[in-house]
Amino acid sequence: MSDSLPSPLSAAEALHAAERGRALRLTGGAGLLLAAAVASLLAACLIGPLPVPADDVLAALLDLTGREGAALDPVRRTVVLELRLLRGLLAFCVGTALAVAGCVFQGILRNPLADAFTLGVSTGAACGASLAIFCGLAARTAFTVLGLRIGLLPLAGLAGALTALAAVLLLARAARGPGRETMVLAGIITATFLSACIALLKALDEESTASIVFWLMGSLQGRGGGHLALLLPYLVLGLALVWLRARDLDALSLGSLQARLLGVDATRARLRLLVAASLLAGAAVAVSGVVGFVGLVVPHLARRFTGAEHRPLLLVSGLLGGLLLVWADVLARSALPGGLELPLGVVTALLGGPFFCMVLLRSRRGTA
Amino acid sequence: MIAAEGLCAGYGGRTVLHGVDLAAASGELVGVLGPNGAGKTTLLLCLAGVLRPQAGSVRLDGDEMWRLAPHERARRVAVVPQSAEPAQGLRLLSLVLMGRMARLPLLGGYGPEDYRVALAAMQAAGVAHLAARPADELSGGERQRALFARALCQETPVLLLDEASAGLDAAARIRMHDLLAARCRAGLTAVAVLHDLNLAALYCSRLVFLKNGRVAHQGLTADVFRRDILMEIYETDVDIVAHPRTGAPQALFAPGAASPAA
Repeated sequence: MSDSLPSPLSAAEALHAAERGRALRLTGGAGLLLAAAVASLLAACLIGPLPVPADDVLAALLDLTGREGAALDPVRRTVVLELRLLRGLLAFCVGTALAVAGCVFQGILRNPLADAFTLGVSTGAACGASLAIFCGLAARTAFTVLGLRIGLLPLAGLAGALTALAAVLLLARAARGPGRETMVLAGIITATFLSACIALLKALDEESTASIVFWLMGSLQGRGGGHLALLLPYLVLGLALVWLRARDLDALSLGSLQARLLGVDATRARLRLLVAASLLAGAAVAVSGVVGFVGLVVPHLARRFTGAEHRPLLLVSGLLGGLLLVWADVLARSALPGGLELPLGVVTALLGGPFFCMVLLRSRRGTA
Repeated sequence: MIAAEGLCAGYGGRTVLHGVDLAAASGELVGVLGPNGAGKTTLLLCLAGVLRPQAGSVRLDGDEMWRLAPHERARRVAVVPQSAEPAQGLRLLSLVLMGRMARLPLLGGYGPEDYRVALAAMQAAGVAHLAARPADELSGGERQRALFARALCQETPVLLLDEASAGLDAAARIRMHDLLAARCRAGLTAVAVLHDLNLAALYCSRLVFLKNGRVAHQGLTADVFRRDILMEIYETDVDIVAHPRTGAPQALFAPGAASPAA
């Protein structure tokens, strides 16, 4: 701790080089995850109740790229491209959005149990989307950018998500509970109430109970290109907002006062990031219904590889979340015989429930 | 030069500080002393510009602190807080580098200069060997030294310390204050909240005694580190002896000397 000790330039260079090496390894890991995601999407094209030979899958994919494929059965083409490839891509995007939103919620609220699902934000988004559908606004265009029609439905999801988030934060503050569980408890209360609202809306709309199950348990059944186009602009916007402010997230994860001491406008940064995370979760839920546990589990898994800095954490979480949901959706649509589908949320809950218990026990031990 | 004038501050409707005047010039280490609840941390938060005064002002070279843009503030004043609870798995190096955050452009990352400064700061604080360790797994004293390194990393002309050395062992505490003294000789302005009276008497050029949110006494250490003042501030009998080596005044307390708490 001597002040006169000259810091050798070479040591600083070595440190910088080591950090660059670390960043390179992380990028390599992310590249592997991306490759795994592409491979998984291709594999997903092969799996399903209707057997499609690999040759035909290849022909359909070549057909997509504009090259002349062999004579192809149009049913098989639709199955491979619409029901499998585009649906797989949609699953990937939903998983990415939920996982990144989970990272942001956990970082800002400094709560390992926080995520769009446990905070009731997802149910709020589902409620907002249901309300928009009830009012006949689902197919409306919100605005047009560069000739692209940007759908309204994800915005309704965002509005619902923000309303639920505000309710949960106010409830948790008013309850002044001692720990991290208070916020989750407030989330459960809000989610339960909003679930009832969704069920009521659907009953009034004289839809089948199946659509109630869709919103509450999540599913990508019958969803493809159209919903992908609906989600993508909001996904890109949300990811960009979070990525730009990832360093604020680093500072905020030390607490609001620390962030201010480090030169971050904590109030604005918190608000900006919470809105971005709600946008991601809200838009994802608007197309998929409530899919739980992805945003909770994936950041914890990713943190083991990346540490707590948010830029690498967000990157790896996003890829891992997408990858996880591609396979969860493959399971959901092919596990049951006879073309029946499991709700996607059931698959993720079966996988994520035990993990949630683990995180809860560990966080309790940490605070004890 | 950082200066508070007629500073009143508090939280919500509660006022903690009632008209505090304090100034620290370049090269000075000013110690802030006083019993628990006297308003020492509140004063430091105001000096750092993160708490808006209810009345009065805090100025840094003429600029009102709380009006400065947050990143501008962090480039001019650094704070070593009492403690921090780092996120799970955050490496010490990452924690220290956060001191450079206010200097980065929105999209850029840390560059060679940032790593050079961070390494020098970690070496100065004696935590360079812990750079790759998760900060949440370190001991309290190691974490405290990391926060000191983070503040050094900010390379600010003003440094504020809130009980920064309280969790350190004797040797580490002396090393931290030796370093601080050397930086002050080189032109740093430092204000340190301290509970260790003798440490304050050894290192601080001037002392400010706070009590009940008011400045009870302030002046050169030799002038105000007196038996009558310490007895008045702490309501405890105390003996002052000269340090056998430096001659600085040192306070000795006897068992049972404190008057019963009201």
